[in-house]
Amino acid sequence: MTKVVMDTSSLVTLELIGILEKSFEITEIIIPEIVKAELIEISSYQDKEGKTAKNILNLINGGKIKIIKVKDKKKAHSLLSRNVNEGESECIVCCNENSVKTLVMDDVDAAYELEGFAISNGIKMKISVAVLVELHRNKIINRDELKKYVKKMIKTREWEGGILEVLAKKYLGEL
Amino acid sequence: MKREELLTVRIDPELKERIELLERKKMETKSNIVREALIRYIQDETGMDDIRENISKKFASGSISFEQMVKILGYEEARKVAFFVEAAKKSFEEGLK
Repeated sequence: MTKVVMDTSSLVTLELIGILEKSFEITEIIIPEIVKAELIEISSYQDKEGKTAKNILNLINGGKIKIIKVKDKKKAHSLLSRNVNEGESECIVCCNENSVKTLVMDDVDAAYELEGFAISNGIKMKISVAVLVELHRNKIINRDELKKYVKKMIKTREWEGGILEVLAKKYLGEL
Repeated sequence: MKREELLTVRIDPELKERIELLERKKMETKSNIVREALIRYIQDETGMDDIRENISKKFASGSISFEQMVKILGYEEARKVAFFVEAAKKSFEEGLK
């Protein structure tokens, strides 16, 4: 069981493509309190993401995702910037405080700005496609399903024609 | 005819003086000068997005080097693209390990 911290966008991505619950078979997902607060805010939207956030909140309330209080709020505050919000800064501090070595974050700008802190604290930054790859490595999903979920992820998040699609084709072949 | 919208922005006095200078020099209204500047900026930025996307894809597929990407996007932007490509590659190669 791999312990990971996930930010709001990666949780939403995984739930949108219908794989979040399956990922509990291989990961222990931890989030700081602020991520729950962000999900509560998103759940008030009357759209697909709002519904997705409600589903994730149900999983949190059912104890499937662990919430942790960040102790060093000062540190988290010091990492805030134009591209890094409270959710992202608390996620990386949460990793550090709980010896979690993997942070799943889909916001590129935020992840880029937090790279220095991640390197100096031995935290690996991954994007949500890593969860799909891990499910495949653990034989929870087969290669065709992996391709199907990656394709769905790219389409759902409107990442068509971007870097992820180029790399997906490189590693998995035609989607 | 399309209805025009009013946009109010705050600018510092030096910038306002420079706009007024252009107003006299080009015999144009302030509105026209600012509108034209906005259109040019937005066209440049939108064009830049397309360039950024194309170059990022070429770098991700290995058809251009980091140095070539720097020449087009600048160092900081190229570093960000390279960072994302690396994070995505590791995600595909290592999963969560």
